[in-house]
Amino acid sequence: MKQINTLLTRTNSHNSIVFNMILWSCSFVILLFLFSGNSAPSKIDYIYTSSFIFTLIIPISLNLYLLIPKFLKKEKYILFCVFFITNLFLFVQINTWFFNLVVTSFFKDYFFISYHNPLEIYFIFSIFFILSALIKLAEDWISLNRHENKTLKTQNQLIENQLYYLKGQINPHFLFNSLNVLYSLAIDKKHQITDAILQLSDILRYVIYDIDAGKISVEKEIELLKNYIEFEKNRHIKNSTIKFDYSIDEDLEIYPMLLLPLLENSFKHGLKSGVKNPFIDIQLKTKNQNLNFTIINNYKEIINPDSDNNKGIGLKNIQKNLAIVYLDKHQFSIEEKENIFTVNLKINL
Amino acid sequence: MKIKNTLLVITFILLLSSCVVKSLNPFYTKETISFDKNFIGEWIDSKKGNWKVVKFENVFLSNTKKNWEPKFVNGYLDNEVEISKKSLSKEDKKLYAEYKDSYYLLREYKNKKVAFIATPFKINNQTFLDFIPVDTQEDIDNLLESHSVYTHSLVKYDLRKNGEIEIRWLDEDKIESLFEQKKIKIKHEVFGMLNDKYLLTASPKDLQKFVQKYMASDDSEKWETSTKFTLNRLNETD
Repeated sequence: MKQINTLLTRTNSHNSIVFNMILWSCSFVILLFLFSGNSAPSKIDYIYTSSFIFTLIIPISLNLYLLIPKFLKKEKYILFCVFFITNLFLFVQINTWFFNLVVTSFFKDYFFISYHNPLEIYFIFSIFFILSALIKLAEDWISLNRHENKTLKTQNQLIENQLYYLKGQINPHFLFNSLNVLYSLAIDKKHQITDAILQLSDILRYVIYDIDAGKISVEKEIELLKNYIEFEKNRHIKNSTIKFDYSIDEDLEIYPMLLLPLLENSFKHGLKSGVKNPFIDIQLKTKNQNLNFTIINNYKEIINPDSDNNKGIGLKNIQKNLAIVYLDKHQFSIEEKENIFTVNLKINL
Repeated sequence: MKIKNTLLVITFILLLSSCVVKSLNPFYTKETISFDKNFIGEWIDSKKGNWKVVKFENVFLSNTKKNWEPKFVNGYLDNEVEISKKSLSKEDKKLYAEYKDSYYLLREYKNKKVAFIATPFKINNQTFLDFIPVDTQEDIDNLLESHSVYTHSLVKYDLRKNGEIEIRWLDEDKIESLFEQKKIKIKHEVFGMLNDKYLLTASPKDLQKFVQKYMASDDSEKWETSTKFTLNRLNETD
């Protein structure tokens, strides 16, 4: 259906009146000067050229509006060639008849003698057939190119919209969790709440301002992860071990909000799952334009359909996001083995 | 006397060429040639000019068989010769092939002689003659001859019921008028001291196309001309 619409749009873009007016005006001028030879065009040249153009209109229109769309564009090349040549031979003959019978009788006082011989008519017809076909194909190509550019712009807009929508899904999710942390600190009246608010403030600054920048430096992304880890530490999970190793050989840029949801996920479903000796091992490396991000955490299996569902939505969002911004440039893998959850993301930046 | 004759011949050719349509190429094509024996003979025109008409090949042979002169009895040729193609040189064979169906025509008027090759051809059942002067005329100055280019002219040939033949040249005024009115597109050049003369350079096929169209034109005076002759067989006027 989309293809049909595309085709219709393309066909509609051809303004046949303007196209034919330009084509035949140019043809008239070219032929007039060709037939006039060395002298300035006179009345007889105008009559002859007009009559000649008249015999060209039908075969060229047949070629442009029947043979090219029906055969050439549908890759029926042999049929196209057969009809093209038949059309040429038939109308060259008709041209001769037309001049001998109609034009000569109609303009009895005029002597159209040394204009051209039959071989020259074939040559003129062939040139006009080929040139008009090339002009039409060029016009189609320009129209197609314009249409493709328009489609590409629309697709980009669509991607932007989708990305914005996905980001919008993540932010409330994150805020909800963060408010839970602050709530628990406030209930316990712990003094760390002030640090936590500052950390959350830094995270929100990132989310509100930096996220709209398109791409963000990996260094800033690391700062965000560190802030988040520090923020989450306020919850004092017993015997927990959180390790974050990173090494970057150059300052690269990455689309925002791709790594944080993964970390958030490991806290929510790993560290806070009630598992004994919880740990999160985070590794981030960049080398040769490649980013390698791995999170390994243990977890306690909870039979709760809602929890599984939430976990699924978070990871799906990340995958959708990656498919839009790093299509064919990323590898995303998840491994769950003996209560160890490993997620790995490789991106070619 | 020789100078006088030379001037007369030139005057005749110039007179003829000054008011008839001239073409670099013949008006006929091989397919349209239609030879008619009835034109062979001795004729006299209204100005008492004498016309001797024989087959071109007879005169052509006379060059190899010396002292052949056409003899006419009651205006008809009496001593027609058969040609022997085997004895012809390469050049003569070429000439024979070109003009075997043409007339050799000698007009004598007030002691001036001028020779033409006339080739008969038909377009739409109308007989025409393509006239071209023989390029080795007697008594013409060599220097003048070396500057001359003889051209073809178109003659309408009509055999009347009383046996008379009328020959009318296509008048230059007619084609000049077409050129001036810009009603004709045919290959040509202009020449002359004032660049006011037309020389058609179109191919024989195009020339025939022109003649066909000209014959069909509505101009009732299309064959009016200042160069025309009515010929009577010599004995019939005696």
